[in-house]
Amino acid sequence: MGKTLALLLFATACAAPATTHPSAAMPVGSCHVMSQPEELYALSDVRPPVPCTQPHQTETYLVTQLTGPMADTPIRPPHELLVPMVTAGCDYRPIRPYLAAGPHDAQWGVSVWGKVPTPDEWAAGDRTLRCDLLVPTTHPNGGPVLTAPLRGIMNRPESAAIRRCNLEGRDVQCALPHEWEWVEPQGLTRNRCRANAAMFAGRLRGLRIRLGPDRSCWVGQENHRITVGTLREGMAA
Amino acid sequence: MTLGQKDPGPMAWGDRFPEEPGSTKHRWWPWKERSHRRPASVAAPDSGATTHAGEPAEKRARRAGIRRHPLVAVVVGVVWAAVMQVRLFLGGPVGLAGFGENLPCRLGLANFRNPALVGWEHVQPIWTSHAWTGETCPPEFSTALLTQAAGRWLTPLLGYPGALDLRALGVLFALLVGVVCGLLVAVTPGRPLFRAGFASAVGLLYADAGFAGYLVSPYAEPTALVAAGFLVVALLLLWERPTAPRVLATAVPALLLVGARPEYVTFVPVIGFALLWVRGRRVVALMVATWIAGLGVFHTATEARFDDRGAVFETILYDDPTAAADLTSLGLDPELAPAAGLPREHPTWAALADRYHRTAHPSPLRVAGFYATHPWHAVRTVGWGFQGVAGLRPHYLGSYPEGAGKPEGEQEHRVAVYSTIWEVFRKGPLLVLVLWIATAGAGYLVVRRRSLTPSEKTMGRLAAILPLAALAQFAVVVLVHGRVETVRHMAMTSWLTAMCVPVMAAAVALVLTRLRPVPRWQHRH
Repeated sequence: MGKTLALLLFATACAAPATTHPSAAMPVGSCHVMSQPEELYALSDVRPPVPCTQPHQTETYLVTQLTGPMADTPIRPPHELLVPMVTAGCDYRPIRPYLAAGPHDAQWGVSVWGKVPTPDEWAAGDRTLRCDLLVPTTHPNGGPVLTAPLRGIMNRPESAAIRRCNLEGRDVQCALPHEWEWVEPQGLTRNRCRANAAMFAGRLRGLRIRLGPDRSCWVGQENHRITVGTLREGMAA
Repeated sequence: MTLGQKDPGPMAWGDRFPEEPGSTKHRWWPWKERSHRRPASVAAPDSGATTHAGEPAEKRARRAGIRRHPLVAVVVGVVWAAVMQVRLFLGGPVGLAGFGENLPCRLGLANFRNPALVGWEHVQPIWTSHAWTGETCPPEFSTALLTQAAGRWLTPLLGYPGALDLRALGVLFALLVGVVCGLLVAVTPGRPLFRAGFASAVGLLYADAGFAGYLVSPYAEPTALVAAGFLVVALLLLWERPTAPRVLATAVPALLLVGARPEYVTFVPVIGFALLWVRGRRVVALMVATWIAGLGVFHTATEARFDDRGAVFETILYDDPTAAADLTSLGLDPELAPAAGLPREHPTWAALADRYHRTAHPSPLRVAGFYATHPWHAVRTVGWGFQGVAGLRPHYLGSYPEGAGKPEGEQEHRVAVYSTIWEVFRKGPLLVLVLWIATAGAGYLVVRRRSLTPSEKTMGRLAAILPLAALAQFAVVVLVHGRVETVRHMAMTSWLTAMCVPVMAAAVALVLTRLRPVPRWQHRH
């Protein structure tokens, strides 16, 4: 009776389980809310996806299958063994095409987070590996939040959230006040940097360039103006 | 019916002659009554026909010998509830940073803290409703969820923001500490001043900077610490006169305590022993002990996952020149020796992960066996354990909420009586062991003292049980956690050790007060 009472008390104290969504049914382009660090660090995520125009933290850019001897085990391997599998499985090469990054665009601060099936789903044979992109926060006291899809973002002004800029020697996102904006690639001469900056911004008038100590190429407004956003041309409003 | 005919076997002389009603002698100031004492050889009175208003003499004497002092109890309880509120909230709330603790997620709550902070820096009191899915909120069961659910209910009533504000928990726990102190006055033997002094020493323990922070935190410890206080009250009441309702009343705080954390399963045998240390009602006591054992086993089976990385790699193999040989002794792969002493986050583990997960892992019993056969390792680990108890509170967890104008990790010292006493233990951690032995010894003397009443002997039993509970808890923490976050894991051991101070003082006072087995009815003459 005592144990029953204790279990009853636990049951009444605990929250009702939330709605879940199978890991295998999360398509590329789906957006996910992971507002708590525990959710981000968990191996699996079965919260239903949200529309990418709603506040969210990650977006799926790749869905694949886990392979290899470890994937054949009927019980989901522990965290330490899954991490190398996830790292190997989440190929970075589709990221730039997914973001629609051109030759002079550089994504900055974007990290990859893999999600595997839950232990129950694993036992049922599911080996889906979901690879998500996480964008850093632009708020010093807030977590990462996106309200726009990352797919093709480099062609939109929201891409300022994942572009690298610089203010007084400190790297910041271009969505924050900055003086200089990074132009790909680096390791070039000043003339080549100038040409790349012209192609990147679509103009050089009213702009100035700077070659960093590591031969990185930066472009900024004349008169050291502090701006917010990106200088890249062709941004759809 | 005469007292002499009533089963004289196990009862001590003084047990049969409890304090007379209306006695005005100074029980706690022996020098004031010494001149009245007579040799023990003086014959007992012929109490066989001593009845007043038709009431059996034993019942009357028993009733008269156990006084509750309700007014003093209420005053002390109210004062300590107020002291705790003032101590926690006056000058801004204080608590303990809930670093890595996510127990309230079981109630559908999340702590949306500043993501720039790791968690150890400040107390983050506000928890809001959140829908956790899948394995993001592990299936952790704790009786602390009951108090947190109560705190959730209190939060809007007290006008705090969010679904659960830990300050509401602080208000609740502070009131409960007041109740514990008040009840202690009622069940502690002795004169009102002595009772109030003992209860206040316990109140001071809860108010001390070493423990008060837990009362405004998401950890399971505050529930266990307050339940332990109620358990002390219940055991004193039970030992005083074992009745079925008292045995059952003991079960409630016992279940709350044992179910709070897996490590507290060590209380099961200790409480079982305490319950069975009564003259009667052993069947009920056995039943309650079985329930507690059942909950303890359930708790251990469902939650406790022995992580040998902490117990073996970060403890036994820490700075260990014979790591490979010791790994072999433990049944682990000796090729894992490069990971000796390294935390699981260390990059070396990544390279050894596959090998680690393919090797057989030792059980806690096997680790205990290793210590038994490797005394040098045992001495070393026990030493870290005593250092953990002497640490009293984690030095890296902040006490103030964010925005209180305090630096990250700043700790409060509003009440630091026991913390000050602990300076002695910090200089000599082995003195903790001395305190345990001294307390148990004082308890033994009280229990064996024939001149003490059953009511007074309850303090002796408590003094005997406390070090036992502390030792059992110490052993399991040392075995399971080793030198990983030892101070925090030793919170309950530290509390039990600190409880030894007032309990030992009370036991010593009892022993000194009743140096000779003189029936108390003789004191007046």
